[in-house]
Amino acid sequence: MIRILLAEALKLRRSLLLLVAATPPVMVFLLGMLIVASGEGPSEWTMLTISGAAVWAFFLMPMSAIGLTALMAQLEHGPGTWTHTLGLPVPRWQVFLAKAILALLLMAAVSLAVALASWAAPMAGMLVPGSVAVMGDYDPGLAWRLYSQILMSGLLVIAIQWTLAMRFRSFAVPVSAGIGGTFVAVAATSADKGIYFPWLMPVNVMASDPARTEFVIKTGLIGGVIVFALAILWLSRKDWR
Amino acid sequence: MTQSVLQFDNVTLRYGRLTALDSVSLSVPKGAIYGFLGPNGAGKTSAIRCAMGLIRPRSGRISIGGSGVVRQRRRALASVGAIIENPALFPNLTGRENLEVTRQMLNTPKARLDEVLEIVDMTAQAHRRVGQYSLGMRQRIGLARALLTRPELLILDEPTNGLDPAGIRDMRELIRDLPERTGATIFMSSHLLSEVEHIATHVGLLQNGHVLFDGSLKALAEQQQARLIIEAGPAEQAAPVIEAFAPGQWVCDGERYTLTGQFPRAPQAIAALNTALVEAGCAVSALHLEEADLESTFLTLTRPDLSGKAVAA
Repeated sequence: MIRILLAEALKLRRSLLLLVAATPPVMVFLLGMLIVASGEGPSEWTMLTISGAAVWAFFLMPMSAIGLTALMAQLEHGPGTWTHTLGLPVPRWQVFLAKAILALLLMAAVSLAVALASWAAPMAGMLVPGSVAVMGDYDPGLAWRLYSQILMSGLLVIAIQWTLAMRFRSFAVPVSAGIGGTFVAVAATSADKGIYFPWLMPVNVMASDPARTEFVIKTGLIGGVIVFALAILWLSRKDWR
Repeated sequence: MTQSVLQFDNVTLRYGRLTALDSVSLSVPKGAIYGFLGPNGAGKTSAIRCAMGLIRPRSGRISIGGSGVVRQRRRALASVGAIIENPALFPNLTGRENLEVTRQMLNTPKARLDEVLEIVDMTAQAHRRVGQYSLGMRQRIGLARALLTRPELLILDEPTNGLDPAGIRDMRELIRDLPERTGATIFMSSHLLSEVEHIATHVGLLQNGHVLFDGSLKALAEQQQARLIIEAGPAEQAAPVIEAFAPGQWVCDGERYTLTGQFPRAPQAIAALNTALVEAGCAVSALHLEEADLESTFLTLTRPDLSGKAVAA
């Protein structure tokens, strides 16, 4: 299994995927730095941490899930690539499990990078003349809790995007589903039933009601594991024409 | 009895209402270069996909080295290397890295990379990205990858497809040498009859999902039918002589007569025909015997009226 995982990781070398993975932390860094440098945004560490996490949960995390899973799958959707990979004498479920683990590791790495960028951005912003000093102390525990909870509650969205990307040769299917889901999430942000919508689960981690937070973490995590498991089972048993 | 490396037993495959393979039975003997022939759409790639366990046939059994592909997929495929359709390589990786991906998955020794690159003569280009390769180079890397596990059976689906004439010649020579260099049995599909004729020891002919022939090239050659072409006139004098020579076995197009099927082929008999035509007052401008090649035999076998009739050999 480790060998297959290493082989899957090697496939990503020099691919566009790594560029896409670098985009969210760079965006968060630039945005955070500009807010502090302009002196017009929140000037308190807790607020900056939460607002950075909100941007990640609401928009950048679903978009990263679309981009990373679709690009990863597109490497295999080239002519004859699935045929070669699945024609090897290795268990197919292990091939798909390795791909799923790699997608999760990439999303976790991007989460970590975004968390670091949301800390580094105000620090850099404060170096700009005319910027405001950020009040209070940076709370790494808060950042760790928020970003790990966003990742857990976002597992269902990641699993859905991964399944669509693996199943459909066309790039358009997972991208349309992901963009559609994100836009519906924007429209339904304040809806009570929003916590049942996969694309809104990560945002609800920051809800003031702890019960909502607990619900979206459990649902996202368990739902994600179930979707991944069913997808791996189905993909490894289907005919590949 | 010859040991069979790849065996299809009454394999039927359907895509909805379309029958892609209809009770296909064939046997690839150990050490053979087996040419799997058929026009586009005959079902060759479907058969290969079934053999690789990528599609489950509706009925029948496919075995590789005695192991069933459906029930013992990993065991059956452990001794197989394959290029199906195009060699599927990752353009962002170098040739060596592409091999390394498969080597990692199959846990073959690292030293094997150099060996297979040497076999396909790609050692010098292995550090370049595949995106910069020509199709011929990609085919070679694909072949190197298929050889990684020292396969007993090498499945090549249209290996010369898209190559220029020089590339076709190089690939043909490479394939021809492979059984001796690697000990592998080769199962090679193609719609280019001349390709197979040059290198195959055995052939299978497939049309519309039916096997029309399965056996050695020698056995196929024995079925090849010669034609006798005669250009003689006038018709009223020539036709009775030709009818007497080969009753009912000829067709006429102007003053050109083509004889097929059962007719005397000995040089003396043909010389006697010439004499008879001249003595009948005919002007004979041409008279020659054409030995049929694989292509004309293939075309004869794949005539619509013969479709679906398997030829035992």
